Amino acid sequence: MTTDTYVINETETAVINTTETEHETDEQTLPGDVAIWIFILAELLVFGIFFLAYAITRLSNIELFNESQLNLTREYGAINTAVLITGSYFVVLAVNAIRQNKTQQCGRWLLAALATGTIFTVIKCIEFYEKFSEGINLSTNVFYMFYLSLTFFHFMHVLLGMVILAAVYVKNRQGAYTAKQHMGVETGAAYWHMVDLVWIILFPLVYLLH
Amino acid sequence: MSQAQRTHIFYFILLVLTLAAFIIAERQTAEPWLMGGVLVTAWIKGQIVVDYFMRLRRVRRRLWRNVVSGWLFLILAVIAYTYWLSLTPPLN
Repeated sequence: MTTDTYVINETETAVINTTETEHETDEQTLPGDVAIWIFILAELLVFGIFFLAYAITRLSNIELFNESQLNLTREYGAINTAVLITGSYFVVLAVNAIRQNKTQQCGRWLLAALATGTIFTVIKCIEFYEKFSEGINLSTNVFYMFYLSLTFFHFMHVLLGMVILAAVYVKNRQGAYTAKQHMGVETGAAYWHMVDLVWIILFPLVYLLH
Repeated sequence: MSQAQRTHIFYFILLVLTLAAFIIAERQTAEPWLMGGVLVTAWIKGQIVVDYFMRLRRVRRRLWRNVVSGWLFLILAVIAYTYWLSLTPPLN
């Protein structure tokens, strides 16, 4: 019985590996649900407007922005960038695993990605706490208004991304995904990468550019 | 090169570019070309995420990749332009 199952799995894995090789060279369909991509585009549009508003407002408040930015802890921003990139990397590995029917491995990578999300939120909370302790709030000046609202808005997206990844993890544990049917994993992955992509612009814009 | 190997290499590149941008920005003298370098690293990182993490590079319908890549480029281009404007002294 066990041997039979093993043989079947091996055959499936061989077929899947062939399919994966084909995926590498051939054109593919959009990964994940089309609905999440429409949602992603809407999110990118909103963040884009925020970024442009920041850049244009900075033009008329250059000294204020430069001085206020010096008060930020760049190390937190850099560490969080590395943490989010690592999370995205783990999610890619989770998708790779499910494409090869390695359900347990997929679950482990999803958990690892969730761990990176947790690290990000903890670091961000420490950063927010430090700023609020210094008496900084939304009305301190226009730089902090942007800094707090932009990073908090992104923070909420990280939390939503974690909820989505957690839901994908639970469904994966229930055996809902296979090499042939894993749209849920790809959908969650696409959203998580969007969160990472937005931070890739937010980090240099708010923390580095001076 | 397998998909897995590519993933590892791009992850490493993303970390190196992040570190590079951080080191550049830590310099007290903010030379404009260095800040331009910071934005270029952000563009490269973003494009890697779009192409290889989001897997839009080989998607049959090019529109999806073009829209996301276009968003990335446009936002960074406007940021770079406003940064350049901030360096030029007012006319009067």
